[in-house]
Amino acid sequence: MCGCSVMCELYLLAGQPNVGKSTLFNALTGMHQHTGNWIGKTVATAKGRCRRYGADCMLLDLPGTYSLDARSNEEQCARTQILSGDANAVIVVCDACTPQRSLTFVLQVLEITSRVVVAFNFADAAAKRGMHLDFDHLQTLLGVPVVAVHARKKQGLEQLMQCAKTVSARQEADPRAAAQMHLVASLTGTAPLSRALAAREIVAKVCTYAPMTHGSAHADHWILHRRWGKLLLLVLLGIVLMVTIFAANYPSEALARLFFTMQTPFTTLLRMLHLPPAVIHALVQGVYRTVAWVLSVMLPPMAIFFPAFSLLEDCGYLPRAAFLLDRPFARCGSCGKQALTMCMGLGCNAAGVMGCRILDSDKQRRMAIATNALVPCNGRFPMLIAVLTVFFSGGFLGAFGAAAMLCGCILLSLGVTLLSSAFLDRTFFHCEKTAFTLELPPYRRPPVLRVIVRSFADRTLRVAGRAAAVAAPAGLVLYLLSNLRTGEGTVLSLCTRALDPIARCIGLDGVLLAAFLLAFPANEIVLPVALLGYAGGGTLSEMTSYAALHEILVQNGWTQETAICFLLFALFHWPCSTTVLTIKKEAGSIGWTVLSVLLPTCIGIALCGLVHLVFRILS
Amino acid sequence: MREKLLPQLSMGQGGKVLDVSANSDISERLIELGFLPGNHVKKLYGDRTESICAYRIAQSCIALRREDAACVRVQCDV
Repeated sequence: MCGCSVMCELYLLAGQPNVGKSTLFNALTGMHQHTGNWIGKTVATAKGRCRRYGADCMLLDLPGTYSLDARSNEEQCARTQILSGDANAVIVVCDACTPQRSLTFVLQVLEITSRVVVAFNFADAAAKRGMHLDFDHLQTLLGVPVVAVHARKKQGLEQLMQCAKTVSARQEADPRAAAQMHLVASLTGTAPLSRALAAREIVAKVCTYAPMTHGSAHADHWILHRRWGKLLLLVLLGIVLMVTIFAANYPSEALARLFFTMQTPFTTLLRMLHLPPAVIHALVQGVYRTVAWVLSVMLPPMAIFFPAFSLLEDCGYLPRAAFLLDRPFARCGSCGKQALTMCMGLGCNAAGVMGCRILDSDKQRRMAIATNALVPCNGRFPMLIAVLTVFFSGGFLGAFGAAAMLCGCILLSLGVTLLSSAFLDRTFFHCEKTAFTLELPPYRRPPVLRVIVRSFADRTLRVAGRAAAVAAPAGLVLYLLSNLRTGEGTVLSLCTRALDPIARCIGLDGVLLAAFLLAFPANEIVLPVALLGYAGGGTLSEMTSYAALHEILVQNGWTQETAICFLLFALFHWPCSTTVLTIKKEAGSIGWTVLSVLLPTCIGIALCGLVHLVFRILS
Repeated sequence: MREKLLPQLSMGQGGKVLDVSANSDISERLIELGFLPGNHVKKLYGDRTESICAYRIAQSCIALRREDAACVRVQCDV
């Protein structure tokens, strides 16, 4: 990334969780790392170059840790980076609202290196709560520069970079003023307790505050209410899903029509390039139509879901959800933070698996990794929405019915996650007890417009781009499979026929099972593959409305039973290839990876088989 | 001036931390989070059975389970 890594100075951004390191990192580098108002948002280190504010350096954004005692993987990672001595300076980001805790961390970093700049974020929020920090005095006490910054408004950054440059010139052996050195040394011991007491002593010297009520106390009275809290959580989930379904329908159809009209100019363009007719046919009927299908089904729901979710995450609701859900998770041997990894899984299972790093204990982490694929990711969401809209939005309830069922799907996957966690807990971990702490950060008003724009530009478009990149070659392969003829039909039809008997046992059909298998690289393409298989003629029909989709599915023998089994199997089957690779990396064992693939698959097969059985008994 | 374990505080009640029992793997984490002898703590919210509760400590809000919070001894406010 930086060709001149020898000449460039390297600064580390360290600090406790949720003090705004990533926001500061984005402000300094102009990059767009995801930020959110909750602990453990950043799980991997990010690297970027800063050429603003009078500096030219590399910045490394470390994951937030409460200490450097190397109890968890992230702490180990942060500690190794600081100890390695590669960095020219360490910028310790602190939250001015919780000075005592922040300073404990600063003292610990100071035990390792003296090339430290302390950056205090959220000083304005602290002032609002009646707290005032004397930064000059603090600077004298610590012997390193202390700078007040406002990461979101990009204030104080020039001074910060200036200070970083100054301390990086210090020699490690070069002592700070002897008196200050002595002060820090006398105050600080290596034990956590003496370190924390020293931090409190410093805070008592530099901080004056008028006792005031906590800002979010009033909101939390209702949000964490012992009776209404969980209900509110359910209602919020329902609203987000409902808005997604309602608002996605029309843009989805419009987009499909747009792609359909664009097909003629696209063909003309290919003809002008003098490509052979067979290639043009393959590109238009295979590649173009598959990509068009995937994008028009996927883009609108994602464009609505991601910003809505980002807003919830920015204002600080997610840790509250973890709090509310802790009890059921605790009963299954896990903890409320697993709910956070499941929320990430709603976006992308691979991201969810990586997010499992926020869990402190190895046991909980491995359980959360194995069960993450039980949450429908955005690749599966649109097909759930499409089938729900087509089959279950009739009647007077209309789209409400579909939304309620989607909500039901999410709750089902939550329930199955809990049950399988309990199963794993009892079989593999023998109910071993683990400790759990969760910080509930103060609510912060998210910059609404910026969140919407950024989540659309960064997440939605990137996810859609990835889907299109997978869908294009997959479309070509499918086109070939469904057009290469052997004696008894196309290759695709041979496959589907072979799978048919197995698939019938679980209420699906050969085409659908083949579609799920072929969609291993990306779940987005399940429905297009299925439609291609149904069409048989080798081309994907144009999808201009949900009514047309309904017609095709019913013509091919779909009933309520098929729809329900399809939904269940879409919820519970093997994770996609990216997720499997991530699981292998994160869990670090092949056995656990195999388990993570088998677990959802077996659950899906069992549930579908059960539904099939019930329908057979009823009829 | 009664002594209690942290989970035994009633909702909304506060107290001064006396000590954190050292023989628990969570005690160091609790100390980092601000549960220091002398700091003031207040029980804020809990779920129905109070198996997990949120406490105000050192200007932040921390949720702890009953068994983890039990290693903190407090002196109740009068």
